[in-house]
Amino acid sequence: MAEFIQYLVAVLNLGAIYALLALGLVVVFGQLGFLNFAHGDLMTLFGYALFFMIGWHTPFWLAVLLAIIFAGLCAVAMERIAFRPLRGRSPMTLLITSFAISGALHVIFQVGISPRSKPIPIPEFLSGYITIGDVFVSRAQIFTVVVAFASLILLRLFLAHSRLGISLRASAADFDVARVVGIQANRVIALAFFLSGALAGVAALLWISQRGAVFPALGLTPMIKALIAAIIGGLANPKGALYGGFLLGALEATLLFLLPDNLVVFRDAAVLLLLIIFLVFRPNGIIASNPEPMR
Amino acid sequence: MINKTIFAAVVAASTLAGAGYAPAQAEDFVIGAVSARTGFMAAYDAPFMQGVTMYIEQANKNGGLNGKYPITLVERDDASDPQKTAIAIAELLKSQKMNMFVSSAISPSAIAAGTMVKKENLLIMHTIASQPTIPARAGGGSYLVMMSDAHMGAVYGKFATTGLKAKTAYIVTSDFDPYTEYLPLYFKDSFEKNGGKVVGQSTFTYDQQEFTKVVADIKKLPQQPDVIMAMPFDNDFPIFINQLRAAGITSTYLGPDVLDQPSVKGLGKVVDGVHYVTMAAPSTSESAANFVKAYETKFGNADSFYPAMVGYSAMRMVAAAAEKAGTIEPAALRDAFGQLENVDTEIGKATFKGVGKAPNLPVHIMKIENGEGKYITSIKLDPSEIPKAK
Repeated sequence: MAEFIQYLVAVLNLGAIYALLALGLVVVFGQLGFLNFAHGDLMTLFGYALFFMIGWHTPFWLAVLLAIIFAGLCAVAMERIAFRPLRGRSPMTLLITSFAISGALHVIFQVGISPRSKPIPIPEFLSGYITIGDVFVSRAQIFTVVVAFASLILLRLFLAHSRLGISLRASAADFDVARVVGIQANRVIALAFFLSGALAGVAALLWISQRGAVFPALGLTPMIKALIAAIIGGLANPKGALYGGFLLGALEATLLFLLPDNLVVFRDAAVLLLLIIFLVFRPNGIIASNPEPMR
Repeated sequence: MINKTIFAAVVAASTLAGAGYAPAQAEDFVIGAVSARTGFMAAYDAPFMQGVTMYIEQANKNGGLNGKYPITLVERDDASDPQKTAIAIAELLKSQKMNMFVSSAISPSAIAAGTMVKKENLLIMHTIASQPTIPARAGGGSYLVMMSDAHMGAVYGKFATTGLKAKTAYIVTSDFDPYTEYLPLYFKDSFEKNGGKVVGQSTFTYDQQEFTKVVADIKKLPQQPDVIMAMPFDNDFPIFINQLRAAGITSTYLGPDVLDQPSVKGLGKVVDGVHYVTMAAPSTSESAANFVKAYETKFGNADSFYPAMVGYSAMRMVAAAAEKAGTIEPAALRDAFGQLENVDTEIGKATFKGVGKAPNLPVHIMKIENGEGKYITSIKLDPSEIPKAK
């Protein structure tokens, strides 16, 4: 029983982070029809912003809030500088552009800041752990699950009930009709990027709270996971990202528990193989709606 | 009279020249370097090259290598990509006449570089590479300039049995890299040779994110092992140590030298008591302490002083080899490098003669306490105690 609860914690912990990241990708995909490969670098930008602000003696939670806003603004800047001039081109052009942005940011982080990890002092209450009987859970894991679910609920409320959220959903559903009824394209796209950056910031907070450091390639692994989660979930619907994130988390945790030690090295390959089989039967993911065309 | 004096001077000079006493000519000592300034290995290669550069700047202020040969560094970035390594080395070999070479620590890059510069008879070092298989496979003038994995594992085995009086150990390995795969196995050999017993082994993958299964396997043992020798890097280590301690496993944690980072030491109480090995302990010598101060002054922080100190010390070894050879001719320099004995460096007295392609040096055991690395002890092995490469 204890082992099963450990397993559940692992699923929730991994799944929640993957879901948040995948949501960030899907929010942008809904508007522009491409996957922003530099999404992971927004996590890294959050990490460095947090590192510098803590270094300037900003209180931790204020620094977290400012760093989330900073990640959102960086995403908006990314859209304004790199993607807007290419609007109307093929999704492939935008995808390649996002690769280029990611590569350039990596070099800037490595040369301009440091190629090595920078420590981020995590508050004491996050670095401990609790035990309930035979079940042991680190506080960072509990924090991850709570914050991720709270963020998902807030996002749901925002999209369902706020004017901005509704305009975002409307333009994701049918961009041309949304414009006809008066929704401003640039504004709603900027909002989507801001939201995507802020979600990357929250995911980065959870990622860093379990690792205590930021380094140039911080966003790479989570980005790949988010990409997989978004594709298996279905790119055109935020719910899909949610399901995809938790499915990926569940698969990874299950294989970690089931595979014998000498086969653990094949975990990622096994996960991908299972997902390929899944996509053969559901090519558009769990929520099978056709992706929106490029604007 | 003047003509006679000039004539005598010319005759004397010719005689001395014929006898090999020609005055030193202005001759540059050229170091070719293809290492990672960007990409994942930049975290280790770049600080090593910072140490090399610090040495060059100081030496050139005093006339160059051993005060005689101004040093020129010709560098290329391979972006942590072995294919780019090969292209950059080919370009350098074509365009430069070099006296020695530095390659990245990435195994395929290091072996490719060693193989490519072999025909030029160049001495080649591989930044902070510690895999004994690199010089074994590259051959020629390929040398490691820090402790090998075999050396590190043997030191840990000896420390665990003699220093910690440990009887049982658990090892956690990963085959994503020879360093993470073999170091625990060298530890195992040494630990069991010294009377200990390895009671279990788990494996992990790089960036695994979750270690609950490994922790559960350790927890299932009838008794907690005295020590856990595990290889997660600084990306996975925080998760592993948190889950390990959360499970109530209090075994002494022995980690590799990559844990010598502020980001690891700053993880709070959960890392108190974690041990790691290093070659760069500022408290062990005045020269090491001075280097750290100089590094911090130059680069604004001391985050990466460990690889930098190894780079700086490696240049001391090169200077000693040039002194021993009496020349900077590549083949002579390469041969003299392998004969070095007790060279004073910031990482300790280094000896290659009778040891092989990696130096014998003191290895320092450190323990994290209150966010700081506290020096515990230094162990210098007898060359016969350093295992052969697996």
